[in-house]
Amino acid sequence: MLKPNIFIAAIVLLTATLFQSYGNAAELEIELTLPDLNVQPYHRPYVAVWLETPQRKHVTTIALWVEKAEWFKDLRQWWRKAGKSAANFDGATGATKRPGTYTINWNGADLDGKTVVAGKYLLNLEVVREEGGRDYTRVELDLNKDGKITIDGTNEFSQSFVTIKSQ
Amino acid sequence: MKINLLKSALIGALTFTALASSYANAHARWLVPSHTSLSGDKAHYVMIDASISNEIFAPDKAYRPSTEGAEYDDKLLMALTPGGEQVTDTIRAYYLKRKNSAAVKLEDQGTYHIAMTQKPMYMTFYKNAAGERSRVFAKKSDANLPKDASDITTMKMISTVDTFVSRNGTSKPALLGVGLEISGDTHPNDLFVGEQARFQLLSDGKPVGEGIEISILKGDTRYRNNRGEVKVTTDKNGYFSTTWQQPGLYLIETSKKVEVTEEGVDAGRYALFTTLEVAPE
Repeated sequence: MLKPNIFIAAIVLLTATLFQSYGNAAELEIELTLPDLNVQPYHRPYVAVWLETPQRKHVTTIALWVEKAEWFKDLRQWWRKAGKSAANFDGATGATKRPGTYTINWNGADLDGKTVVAGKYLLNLEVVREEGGRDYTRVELDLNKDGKITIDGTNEFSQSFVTIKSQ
Repeated sequence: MKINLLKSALIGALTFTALASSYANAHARWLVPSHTSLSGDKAHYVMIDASISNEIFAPDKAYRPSTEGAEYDDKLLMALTPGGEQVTDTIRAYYLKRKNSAAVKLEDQGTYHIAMTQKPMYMTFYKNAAGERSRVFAKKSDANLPKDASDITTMKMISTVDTFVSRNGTSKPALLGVGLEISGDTHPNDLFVGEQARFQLLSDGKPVGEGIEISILKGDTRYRNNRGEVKVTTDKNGYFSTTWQQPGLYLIETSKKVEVTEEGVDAGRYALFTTLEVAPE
């Protein structure tokens, strides 16, 4: 339906944006496992994955798997850092997931599309389940160095991995 | 004779101070909010319970409504919006014998400062003919004292009994401006185990000085033998700090002598009872 010239212009613009965003950015591949818990009732957990500076300032939310805003506050650590403004998470929000292993790819940009400056950060992972438990962990990582970090499992998430691909 | 007078005046003053401070520490007054942090688009209600008890956060004695025999009191509690306005909706606190309960509607985004309406309370201490000390809740001019009462002193006390609730994020809480209250670097709805909180104690909106002792007491004292009260002291700018060891509801308690220039009042005191919630990490 688009006129060809507009279509081409859109592609050019999109390509330019992609290069601008991803050009020099480190990337993360987060392999997160939600355990199959033998409990009744089981509600799919709310999950937040986000980056903070070493001083614990919110940089960007990478993934937010949620349903109702009414329960966002139960992701207590994420909520206190990012909950105040929808701009902090609108682009990272998705539905809650069944137990299983999921790969979250982060392209190195914040939700405004700006490249996050390479350096040291804290990767935060928080999982909370209705009528269930809550687990929270944070790991240090350096976006300047390739590497793979193992996050120990807890009750609400199983052993998970973060792969850092610097530039 | 002179020495004896001086001596008895001194003893009287000491006893009075002891009574006054023991009163301040005797029965804790507190609010318990059903929530301290809320999220979502619809306006929220938060339930506030108020009571006076020694077993912290277990209700014991309710506040009697100002109208004799009434089942509720619309003036017992008040709330300041994030913008600093007083909430105009009626906050109806029901009298439930051991506690008062009210629902407060939160419509704005940010932090609400919820408190008991501050009312001066007068206490008159005296000694009867047998030399026994006693006290009544009235100014000496209004008190029905025994004819031979001696060492009569009246104290005026203003208590702050408050807490904070945030909706869709925190904002700097509005100040009551009267009596004692906490302010400072740490947001009262952003408290986590393992983190240090730093507050500033204000008296009539201004920082208090050095050396005021503050008690930090975790609730549910009924379920432990040791109350485990933590005591900290304000620095010269009125700041005090603590690092939370356990999650839960806490009562921050302190009191301070204040100058009073009111006819028939010999001493003044402010007291503070602030309820805070600490989240697990």
